[in-house]
Amino acid sequence: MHIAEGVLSGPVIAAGFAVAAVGTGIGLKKLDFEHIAETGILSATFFVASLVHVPVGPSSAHLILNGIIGLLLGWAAFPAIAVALLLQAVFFQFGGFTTLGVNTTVMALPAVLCFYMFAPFLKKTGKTAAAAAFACGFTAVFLSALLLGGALYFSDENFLEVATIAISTHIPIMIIEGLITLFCIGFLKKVRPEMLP
Amino acid sequence: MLQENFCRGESPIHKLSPRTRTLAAIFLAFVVALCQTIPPLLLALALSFILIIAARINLFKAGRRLLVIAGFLLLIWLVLPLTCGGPVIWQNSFLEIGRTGITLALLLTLKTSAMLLIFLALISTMSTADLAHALHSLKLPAKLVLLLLITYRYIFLIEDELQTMLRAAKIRNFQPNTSLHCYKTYANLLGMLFVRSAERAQRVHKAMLCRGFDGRFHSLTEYHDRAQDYFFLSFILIFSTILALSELRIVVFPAIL
Repeated sequence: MHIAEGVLSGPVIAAGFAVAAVGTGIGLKKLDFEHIAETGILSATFFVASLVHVPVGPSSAHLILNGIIGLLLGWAAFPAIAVALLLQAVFFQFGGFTTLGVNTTVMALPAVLCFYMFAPFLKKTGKTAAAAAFACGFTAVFLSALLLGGALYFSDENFLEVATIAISTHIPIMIIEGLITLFCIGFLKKVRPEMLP
Repeated sequence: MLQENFCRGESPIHKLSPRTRTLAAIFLAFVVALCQTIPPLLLALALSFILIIAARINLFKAGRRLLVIAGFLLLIWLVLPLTCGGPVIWQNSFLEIGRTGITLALLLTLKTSAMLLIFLALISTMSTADLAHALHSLKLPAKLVLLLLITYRYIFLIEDELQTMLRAAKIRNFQPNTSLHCYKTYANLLGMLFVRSAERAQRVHKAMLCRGFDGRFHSLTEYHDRAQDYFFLSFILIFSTILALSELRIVVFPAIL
């Protein structure tokens, strides 16, 4: 989920960088040298996992996973996602320098919000934890889609329809991300519970 | 497979220091992003072609990179002319194609292509390690640069690990389809990838401590700004000024549109 370069207006670019800078600043402050290797390697995993295409009916979608990243990294999701996005720009020309702020905000802000909203419920057992895990994956992509649509709309009001189409095509992805997060968190809970908050 | 396709080469662009290229690319990106009229964007597109040629990037390969934005541009060309209004160019009983939408779609196409090609010519022609050191010399926080270097170091290994797991699943007759079983398989696979990555991270951290890691990363190649770097930067600066003047209609080029 990225916005291509050249689409956003000046004020939106500036707002994106402002939010991303604050988030990355907090993330880096909380990140000590003990955990920098772990965060870097998880950021690499996040980059690689987004290359996985899962089938959705006749078409396919690539995973976003910002819900899981939020749960695993908390505020460090901001720098981790910023770095992964810069690498995506270098390797595949998805986005570039000017969109880095907005794209980081679009993906990382929901990740951190979901961390605060759903992490407490994951410690519970059975259906509550499962529902929280699904909601975490679903909500993270939902909020990202809304932010993406908002960034387009505030850049130019003529983008209203394009933004609506962009948001609605993400609805099946929200459900799939919810399911993947649900199963993945269940897996991690069994295998490596100490990785979860 | 992941590859850095353009980072090695013998061209005038490759000979510039990474710091110069990064500075120029960031500066140009913001100037072009703020242009809202056609003439400066045509100039920017011309510059992007010159840079691609100067970097000796195969034009066909550069064109294939443009496909990344093709989907988005197609959506824009399908939607904007029908929804933006303005003077009507063509209509039938239920569709109206307006001039505003066409102009906006053209503007975006020019801008996005120019920015992508400039990025390709200036940034994708250096290794990510060089980019990280360039960003560090441009005062990006050291921790963020370190994170970038570690992430870059491990994406290849982790991609390899993912491919191994996908191959293992395939050998066990896993066929991706739209079903709960399929999503569960992918989720477990990713979960395993996270677990293995976390374990690898602990080993790496210990290995880094053993080798006296103090929070700094040292580059093996040193770059110094030379005359050609200052020349290139002044060229970019002058070009950007021309773009800005043309955007503000202080300099007017023969009208094309």
